Amino acid sequence: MRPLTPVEKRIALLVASRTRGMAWLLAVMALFALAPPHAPVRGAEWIIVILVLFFAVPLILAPSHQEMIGPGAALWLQKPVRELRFVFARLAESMAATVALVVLLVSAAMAYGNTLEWAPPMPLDFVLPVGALVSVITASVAFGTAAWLSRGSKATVLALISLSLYVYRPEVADPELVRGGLAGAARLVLLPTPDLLRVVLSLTGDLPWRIQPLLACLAYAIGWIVVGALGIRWSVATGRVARVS
Amino acid sequence: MDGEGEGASGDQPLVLAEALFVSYGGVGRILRGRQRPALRGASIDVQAGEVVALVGPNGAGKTTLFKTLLGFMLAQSGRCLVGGEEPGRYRRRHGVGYMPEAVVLPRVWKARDLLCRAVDLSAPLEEREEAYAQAVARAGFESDASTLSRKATKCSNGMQRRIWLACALAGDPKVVLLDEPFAGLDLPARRQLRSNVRSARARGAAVLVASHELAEVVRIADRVVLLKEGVTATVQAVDQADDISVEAMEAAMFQGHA
Repeated sequence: MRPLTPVEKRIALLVASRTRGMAWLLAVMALFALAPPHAPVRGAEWIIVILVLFFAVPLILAPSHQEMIGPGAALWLQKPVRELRFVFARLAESMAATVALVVLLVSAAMAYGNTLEWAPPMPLDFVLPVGALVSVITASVAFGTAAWLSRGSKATVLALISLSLYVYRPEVADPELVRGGLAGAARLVLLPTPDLLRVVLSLTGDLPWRIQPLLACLAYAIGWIVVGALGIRWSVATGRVARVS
Repeated sequence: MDGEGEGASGDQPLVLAEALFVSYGGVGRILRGRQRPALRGASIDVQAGEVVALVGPNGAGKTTLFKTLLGFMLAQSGRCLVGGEEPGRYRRRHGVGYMPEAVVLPRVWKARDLLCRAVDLSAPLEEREEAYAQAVARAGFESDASTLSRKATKCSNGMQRRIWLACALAGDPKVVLLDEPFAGLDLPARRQLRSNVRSARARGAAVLVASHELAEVVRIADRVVLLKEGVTATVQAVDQADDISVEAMEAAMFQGHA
């Protein structure tokens, strides 16, 4: 085999350094092949979910892994702070930055899409709340998993999102299963896709406005934040934070 | 920070560990009785305004002792008190200045932002400006504004260690635990570190330094403690007024522990 030229070497290095990013991109593409978004708001859903997966998840996972239970935890936890107070403050910061970034990017993408006429025109009073809500939900799941898993939390979040979208697809969801106990248990873990869709359709005017779906989404996010907080508490109490550090 | 409960009462040392037994191992190891003991009855005490150096071979349990004193690990038996309190409780109430052996700073943060956050978490509002200037000086970055605006993880290993140390000393903690602080530091940074340790001692802090570099620690320590296989083996006082020979200290410390 002939040796690589300097240019080829650079390209090979570039590709190798982007392996994880590419794997993540392929996983997201596979997710949409598995569970294409619902028809009424297809373009908007695509853009929001893709941006959330690319920005919200890593932006929450990074501080969770590095500063809450990872090697950087000792930098902050040596200070006179209560672990959970510090973690919630740091999570609130990261989440605010994540939501702001996602909303900004979604708005920009929508505006660009509108000019090219490939996305349905979406007013800001739709994009902002939906982008924020999806970001908050996904970020909460990412935090909850990161607090317990030192490896593989990104894949877990993606698997959870895929499963949530897949299970609740109209052609897949078994009405008996949905009404049964399994769905009841699964609903605690899987993303509240039907409630989220109801919120989205309420905002587009396709359904009358009701507060319950929004509350269900927020309760789900809070549930995952509590799971994460318990994980952090457990990590500190059992010395896991020291082993990771 | 108020001073309530911060000092040990009477003659009680600020840092006290007595007959500590700490082992590693998950549930499976515990059930199989295959726990890996890291400390097997280690005892140490550090008074306020004293610097104690902890030396010993790799795997002696120095880092485990530090993590127990921080309250990040729980001792199976023995007594461990920091400022007269359980270590985790003391840390949450008053803070501890801790520098680990392997420094891994969080990504994204600039050096300046890390120092600011450390100061914010440890100093009262009215003292933060002064505390930040002091943190910059302790890191040795007074005349190096460009490093402060760089991402901390893009700085060299030695600089990252200086940043962490300055973060750890922010707020003037009464208990300072330094794990291999000299590793990766150049000569001016070592001088700065020695000065930081002496300042901490002068303001009444209890400083515990674990290091393999006996030549460095004898220059700052009041006592040198040898930890071997999880047990405190030798304690040797150091008179800073004397001209200390590292060879003599080595002979005294490691006699019968080769």
